[in-house]
Amino acid sequence: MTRTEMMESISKLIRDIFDDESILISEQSSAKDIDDWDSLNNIKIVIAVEKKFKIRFKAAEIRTWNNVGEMCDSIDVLLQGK
Amino acid sequence: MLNKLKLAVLGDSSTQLLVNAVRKDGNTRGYDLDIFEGEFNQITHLVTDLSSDLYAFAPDVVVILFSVESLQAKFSVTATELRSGFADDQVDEIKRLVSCLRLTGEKRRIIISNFAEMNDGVYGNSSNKYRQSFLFALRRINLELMELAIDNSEVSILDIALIQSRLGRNQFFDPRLYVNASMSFSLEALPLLSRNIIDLISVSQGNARKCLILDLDNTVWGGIIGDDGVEKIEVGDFGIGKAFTRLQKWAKELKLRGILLAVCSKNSEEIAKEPFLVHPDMELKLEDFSIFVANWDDKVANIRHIQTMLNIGFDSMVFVDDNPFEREQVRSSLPDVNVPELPEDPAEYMEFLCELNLFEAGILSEMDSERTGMIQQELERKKIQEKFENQDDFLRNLEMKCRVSSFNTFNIPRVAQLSERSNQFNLRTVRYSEQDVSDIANNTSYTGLALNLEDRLGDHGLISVIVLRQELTDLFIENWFMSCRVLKRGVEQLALEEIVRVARQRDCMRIVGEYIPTKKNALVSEHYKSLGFHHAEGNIWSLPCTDFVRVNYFIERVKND
Repeated sequence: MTRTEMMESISKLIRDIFDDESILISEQSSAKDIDDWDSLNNIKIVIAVEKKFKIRFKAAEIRTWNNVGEMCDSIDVLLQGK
Repeated sequence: MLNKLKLAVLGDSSTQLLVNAVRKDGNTRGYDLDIFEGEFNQITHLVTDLSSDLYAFAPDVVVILFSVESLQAKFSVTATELRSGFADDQVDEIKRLVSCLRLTGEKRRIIISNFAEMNDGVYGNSSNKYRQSFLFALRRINLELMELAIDNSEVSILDIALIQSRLGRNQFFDPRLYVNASMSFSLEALPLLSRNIIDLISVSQGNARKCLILDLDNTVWGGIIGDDGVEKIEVGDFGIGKAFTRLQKWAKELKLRGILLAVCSKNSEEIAKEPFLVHPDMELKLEDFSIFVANWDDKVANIRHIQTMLNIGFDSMVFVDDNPFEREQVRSSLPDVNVPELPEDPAEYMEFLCELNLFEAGILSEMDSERTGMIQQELERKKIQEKFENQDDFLRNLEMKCRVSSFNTFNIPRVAQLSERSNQFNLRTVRYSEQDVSDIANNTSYTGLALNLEDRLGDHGLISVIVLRQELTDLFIENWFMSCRVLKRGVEQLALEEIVRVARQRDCMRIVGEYIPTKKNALVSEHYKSLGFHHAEGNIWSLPCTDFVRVNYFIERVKND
């Protein structure tokens, strides 16, 4: 999977969770950029991403990401290990 | 029209996502929920401080969600020598919460979760052998919570332990969500938890399901009776008969606790009845059914017929049929009937049906188990009625006797139960818990009337309740509800005479009644008018005692107190 494809599917998941088609997601996007992106919606995003890519993050890992790009790095690592 | 309800949710773990799910589920089940969400881990403070935001909100229903993780945290800071008493202390604390909630809200329903089981890895299986183990404390608390619910009619237990056993610990609990967000439930667990909460709310509001309608071929037995013949159908040890036997045993247990059973099958009647009469492995017998409909008409028409005969709402019926076409037809024509999407493999029927929690029980009484017999008598009455051209002759022929009692220890549970169940003939739809009823019995401003009816075919038991409250020289009918089975028998006329008697004893000048419309009680919109009350304003009706005119009825009044 290319990085672009990964970003596309993550953007779609995030738009679904916030029920807002106008949201634009880049590698630099983070919780600060979207009003409703609180800790609970963050959980929803993480779980949705895990389901989509059939991976499982570690609890500590989830806390380290500063933006969507860093989450993608974690996904990359997990997908390579599969 | 959605029913408005104020719900408070308190938890010692994060509950936001569960609350969202409850709001949504409530909405699809007919409730407009105004939800107060307690701050995280503030259960004790919110409940025991009577000036807290919780009480300012004045909830109709309070849900308290305990997590086993928080329980374990408390356990771990308890000195080892005190651990064998840990369970009792926790239960006492929960009892204290319940009494605060009861003290502050007369009709408040309280839903308390029990604890999911967990392996704390300290004693292993031998946890069962040591009083000081966490598992021993946990299971004991769960058992004591059952006792608490038995002793307090307004308390229900949300059985989280059972929900977790259904899903498995790994699906129910996501340790990462717990570590990162203090969530004790995984996202997968939310739908089941939410549905069970709504189920409990729903029965507390009088919406318990009352009737199970069964198809026969490939639902109650395997195979097609018309083609295979009675010796070839699968039931008991033959073929996959066990799957069907399990379903039959379930239906039989439901019947024993008061759920009405009905058959709705496309078959000729005689052939459909044969297995019930001759097959030795059939758990269900003909007499278990209140009504048996087997013909070649479409099922929608037959279920309508069953509804008329049993006189209960479509929304209190569950229809179980293996045929997707029949299910779809019933679902589209009778959307209120609950039609489970049965799995294809009969072996999976029971797990699936049990998980749906179709028959959450409201307040039960001994009368429930007699219900099937009562309905059969009722159908007998309908047959008699058809023989009489004149309604008065029919009523006289029934030889009805009515006993009017005040509220007493014997009838209090029944009064509370009827209050919860009556939706159609219910003038103000005030629900009374057992506690409420006994409070009324002890309050001199109130008079409660409990009416029992019997006739030559059998005993109807408690059929109507009237709660009267004196307001100076007015006697206000705080509520009047009646079982619809005894409509048009003259009970209303006899009851009014009783109300007038109470009014005169209390030196009241007039009787005041109110009709508060709901989605279900249009039946009694003209009730007071038809009894000769004058229209006062809005939905208020009044009858000066001097204007009361006795109307003839055919019920003998039996006095017992």
